[in-house]
Amino acid sequence: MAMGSATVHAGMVDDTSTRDELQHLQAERDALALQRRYQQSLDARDMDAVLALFAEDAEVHYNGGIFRGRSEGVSRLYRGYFSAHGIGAHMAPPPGLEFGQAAVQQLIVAKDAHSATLEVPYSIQSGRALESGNSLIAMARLHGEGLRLWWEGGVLALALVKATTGQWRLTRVHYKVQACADYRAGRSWSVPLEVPGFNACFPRLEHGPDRLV
Amino acid sequence: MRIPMHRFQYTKLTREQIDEKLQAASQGPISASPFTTALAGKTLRLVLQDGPVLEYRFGSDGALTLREATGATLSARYGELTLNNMVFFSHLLPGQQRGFNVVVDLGTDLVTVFEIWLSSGIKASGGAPGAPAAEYTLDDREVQRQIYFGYVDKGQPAPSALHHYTNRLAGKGLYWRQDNGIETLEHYASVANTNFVELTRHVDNLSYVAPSDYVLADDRTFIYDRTECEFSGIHTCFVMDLYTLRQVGVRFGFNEKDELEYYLFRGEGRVTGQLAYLEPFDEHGRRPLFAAAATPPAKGARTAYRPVRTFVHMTDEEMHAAAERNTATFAVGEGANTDISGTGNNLPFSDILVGKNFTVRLDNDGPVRDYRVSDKFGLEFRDQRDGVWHKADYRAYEGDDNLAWFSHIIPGSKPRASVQVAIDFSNGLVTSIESRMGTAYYGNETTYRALFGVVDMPGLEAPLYVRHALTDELVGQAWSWSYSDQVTSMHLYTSPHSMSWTIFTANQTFGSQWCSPCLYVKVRPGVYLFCQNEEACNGAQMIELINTKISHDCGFSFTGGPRGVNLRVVGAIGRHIGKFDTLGYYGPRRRGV
Repeated sequence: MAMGSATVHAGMVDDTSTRDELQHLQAERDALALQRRYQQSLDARDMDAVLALFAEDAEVHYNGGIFRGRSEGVSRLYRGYFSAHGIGAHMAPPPGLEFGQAAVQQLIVAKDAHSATLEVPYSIQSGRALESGNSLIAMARLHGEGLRLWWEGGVLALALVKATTGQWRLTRVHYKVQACADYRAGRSWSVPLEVPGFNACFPRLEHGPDRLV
Repeated sequence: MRIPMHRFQYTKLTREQIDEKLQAASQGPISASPFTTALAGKTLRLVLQDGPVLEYRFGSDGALTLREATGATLSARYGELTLNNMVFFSHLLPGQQRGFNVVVDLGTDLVTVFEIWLSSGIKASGGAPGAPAAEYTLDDREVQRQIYFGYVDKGQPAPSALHHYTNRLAGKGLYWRQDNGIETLEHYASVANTNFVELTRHVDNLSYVAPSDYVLADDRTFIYDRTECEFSGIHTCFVMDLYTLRQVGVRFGFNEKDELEYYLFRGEGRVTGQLAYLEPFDEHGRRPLFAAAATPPAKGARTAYRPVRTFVHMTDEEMHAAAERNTATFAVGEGANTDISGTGNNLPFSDILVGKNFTVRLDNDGPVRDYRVSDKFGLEFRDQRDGVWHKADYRAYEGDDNLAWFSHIIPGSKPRASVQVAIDFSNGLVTSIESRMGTAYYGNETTYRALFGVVDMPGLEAPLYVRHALTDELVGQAWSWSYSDQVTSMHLYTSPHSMSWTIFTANQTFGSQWCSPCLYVKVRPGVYLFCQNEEACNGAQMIELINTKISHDCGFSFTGGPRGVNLRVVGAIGRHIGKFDTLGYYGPRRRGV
């Protein structure tokens, strides 16, 4: 069901149909609420709260790598890679970059309301540690820097399932990157950026993926 | 003391040895100035934010009792000095390797309390990202501190504002002379460190860096501490009044002779200058400098750079074997370090040498080298001592008009060596920074020396007596150097033989800091060579030509390690951040003066 197409015409359908439609509407609202909590938790750098939204067997596709398992690969991605590299918090797109306006939020909840997919535009800060043995970088790391930061935008594709508790859980998160730019808040300009994906897996790469795409 | 502080082998004092040495402090601190008695006969109940409640009762004879939250009442001897309406007192707790430095504002009843302790057992870790972190335990002799802000509880409502961390001292420099004759230059060029020069205790006037805290009591009164982490671990803490430039405080810890120093002092100062600080105008530095984390910093935590803890020691032979396996120049060749963080804002390479044949003749029986240059990146040279021509990759800049600045490896050298040569084709003067691997301490550290001389070339008559020379013209100046849009470091050319560098935080606050010895050469008015070795750190050498007329530097780095030797290019855009008027404090001194 595409979001916004569900309509309840009170008194014109039987009770079962009404109940099903209300359940669907509630499922839609809950799915969207989960997506909001996901982004709010990233904004707050609360990775425990992020991970609490995932099913145990979830996987995340990010930057050409697949991270598997909430307590392993997915945890490594958020607690390790995202935390260390300042990734994930919402960031407005660079001025003049008409990004996200054409991207449509699309929510499809299965008829039984036990699974759903959601695609939303995302616009986040991304980054990577400067790879250097240079003392300047080592010292910057002491106060949480030594990073190259940029803006990243695209479509965030989420797959959700209902847990036994009746709450949605993320089973798949896929960052489909569409654009990156050398940009930081307050600047009036940006420069398009090509960002290479992961080229190695964990454990060779400390916070690397379990598999390359 | 003539051994540099970061070369000195401080004794690893044990907890038991410290216990024994602290017995000398059982009567409390000493002081060259008479103690004051503002608190004698009084009781104070100090309520501390996120800290304990301390209940003090002061006797009239330098004795006090303290009851902490645990309920036990302890007796100790204390020392007290007043400064305006501020009372500074310090005491240890017998048998605990612990004590307090307390600043009480009798006017506002606000307090700042430093809990201090030894033998902390605190574990720390370091190392490059991606590599297993090396864990180590802080030395027992390193004084730890935890700062609490609070008030004297007289039954009144809790005050809405307390003393707090500040950036109001950021960039300020002060000269202090204590009542015991100790003189210090302190450069507060960081919100978390001090770059200080011990004018009395150390004969070479090298500057060092120690983690520090800066607290605002009121607009004229600041509270400060520094702990010489990675050195003796000694702790200095004082209150300063910047209207009258006076201080009262304490020094506590063990010096390089392992002697206990526990004394209060008064001092008088002079402001030596103020650097611009570049953070946003609404940033007041109220939070101490820590990396963002999900949990608050642990008790005693501080942002301290401890590079030697993870610096791998190599012998001269190990280093040379690595150099034989791989000597990479200018990010060319197998194993070359292609890190470009230091090159994004470099000056362009120059063909100023192309087509020239010349001889670099260095004084005092130094090397005499003939050069033939037919290419922008390749040259031939021979040392007249052996007469063998070598081919070498090189990079050259035109660092100023008609001034060549180039570098190359000395092929086959043992230990591996490089030269960085400035040739002034307008007057025939030459400086060569002769670099090689190895110091008395590490095979994988670098050593440098500056040799002066002339260039022989048809049509160029070099002077007989005039030479480039070492200079102190840069001393006191601070320059930020942006090597790329991601990497900026501020150099403070602290003393004639040393400097510090400070890394900015994301909002351009002065952050992490470290220091090294260095040299400066004047090449032309406004044009200098600067060379430093990050000794007891990573052993890397930076050799730059600084052209203050264009606020730019360009040059080279020379490093070695298990992966071999690297000669690379480095350059940055500069900003002049300010200058301290400190040159008059340096220079040879007669003993006892």
